Amino acid sequence: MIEFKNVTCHKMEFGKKQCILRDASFIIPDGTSVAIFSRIPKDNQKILRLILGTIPVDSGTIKTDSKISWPVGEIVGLQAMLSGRQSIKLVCGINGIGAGKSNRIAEMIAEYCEFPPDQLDLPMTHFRPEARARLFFALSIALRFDYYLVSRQMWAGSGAFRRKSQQSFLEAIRKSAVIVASQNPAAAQKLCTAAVVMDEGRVTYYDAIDEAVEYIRGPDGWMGEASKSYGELRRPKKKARRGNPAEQVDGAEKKAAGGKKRPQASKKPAKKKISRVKKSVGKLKRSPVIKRAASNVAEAANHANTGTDARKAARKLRRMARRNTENTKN
Amino acid sequence: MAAFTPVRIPDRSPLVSKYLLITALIRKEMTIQFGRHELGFVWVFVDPILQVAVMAIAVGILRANSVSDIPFVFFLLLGIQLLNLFKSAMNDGLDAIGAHRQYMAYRTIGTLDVFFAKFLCQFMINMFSTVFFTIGAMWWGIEVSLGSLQIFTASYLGVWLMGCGSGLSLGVVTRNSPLAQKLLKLVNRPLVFLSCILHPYAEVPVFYREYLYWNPLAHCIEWARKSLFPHYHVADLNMRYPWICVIVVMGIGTSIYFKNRHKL
Repeated sequence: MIEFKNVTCHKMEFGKKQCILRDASFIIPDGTSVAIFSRIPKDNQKILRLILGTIPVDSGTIKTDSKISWPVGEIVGLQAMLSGRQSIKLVCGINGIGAGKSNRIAEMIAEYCEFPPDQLDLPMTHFRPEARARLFFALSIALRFDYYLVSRQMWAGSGAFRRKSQQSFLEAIRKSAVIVASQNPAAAQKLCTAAVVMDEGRVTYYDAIDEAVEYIRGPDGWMGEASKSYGELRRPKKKARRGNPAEQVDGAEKKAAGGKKRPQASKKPAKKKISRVKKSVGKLKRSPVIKRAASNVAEAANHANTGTDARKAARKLRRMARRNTENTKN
Repeated sequence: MAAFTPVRIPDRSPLVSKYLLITALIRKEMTIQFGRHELGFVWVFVDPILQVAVMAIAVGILRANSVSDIPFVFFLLLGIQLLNLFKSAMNDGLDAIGAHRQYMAYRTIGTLDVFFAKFLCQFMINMFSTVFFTIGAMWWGIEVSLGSLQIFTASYLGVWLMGCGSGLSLGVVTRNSPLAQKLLKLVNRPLVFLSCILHPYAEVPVFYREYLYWNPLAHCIEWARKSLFPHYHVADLNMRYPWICVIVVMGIGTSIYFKNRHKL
């Protein structure tokens, strides 16, 4: 059970005090999964921080007698000096687990994360970001808490491991509850039964999540019609080109006459992207430092050729290149 | 894929879980301090010996040195050990909150646990090396009397608790200004001259002795020497004064902590 009693809390934004919670009182019962929605994005994550006690309250109390995890998958308290096994033991000790059990947990995690043998005994500097994410994710679901906090994601790593981690997270929370700070009602509805809605300091607790979602999408909420107009405001329609209206007319005439058409390129965006990619690959190949990055980029370009969405592939290879250059720097 | 079932966290009494937490934190501190290799531990002994060597050369040349009844090197070593205990406790207190800010995401950790782990870690390291040096001195042939160990313990604990109290209060007050923390660490330096490390209290001219008398560390360090070497000459020392200082410093530290504990 987590009990909020007359909690008032603020945050500082652009040098101004902004109220997050104003005199909020509600109780999250035992074993109830709760989603937290807020009008302003990231305000709902503040509630998780309040429960963990990392940000102070102005007044009021938050009481709980259940075991609460740290945000799932978050890398908390990474020490470069410690080895993987030592950091597992540290986290286990902090959460009240003895030496014998924590040894077993370490073995279990090594197997789950598919680490090569002896990787766990290396210091954390030898772990790649992927391996670190895997380790800390596995650690957060290796212990059974009463509540798991979910702030950003419920998985770790990429590819097959991501699917596996997603599945094992769902298995892990079967006997516990989750508190999800999400802006995506559809995703939260799958996990939670109740909801908390934060709206300009006011907090309402809904026993049924559907009511909360209805409120959010309704006229008073922020995901209904109001948000659409907001979106339109953000992306204004393309204005007519400035300049002499006579020229525009000329241009229109040219088009009508079947002159050179610009939109030809936009008809086949994939090919254009790929050619750009190939150019960049050439550039990369010339620099000796990032050979590995180049090979990866080339692989991704091939992937793009086989007919998948080129934009996606481009984004992916850019990310890969960035990651690889970072690694080579290190 | 192996079965991955979450391990249940056992319901322990708060005392046991606190013990597990603090031992885990201390183990972490030790690993960070000495590196991952077992040889890193040698530094505990090398560091004070180096300090003593430098001081012995500097001071020994300046004044042809002899302190009655104590070999000069051991005289310096004992003083430096006690001063290091105070300094390390205080400096660790200054660093404690900043170094553990991340760890606060674990709900079981409180701010006081962090301070406690840091202080205990320093105490253990220092005590180990002090005992090692004392035994080493006895083996070397220096006559160390263990008759009044209670006085030694009282002065040793007094120094440590003073360091803890000042570390706690200063760490809480200066938690948001790293500059103040650095300055405070610099201010620590002249303590070498003000705490009777390089010379016995009795040798100080009477005019300066008046001012030196206000330093509780000087009292404790002199008492520690007196307890191990009964023939060592001391002048108007007091054990009550440093312990009053301990109580005052600890009181200030804990009250500052409890006043600010919700803001940390």
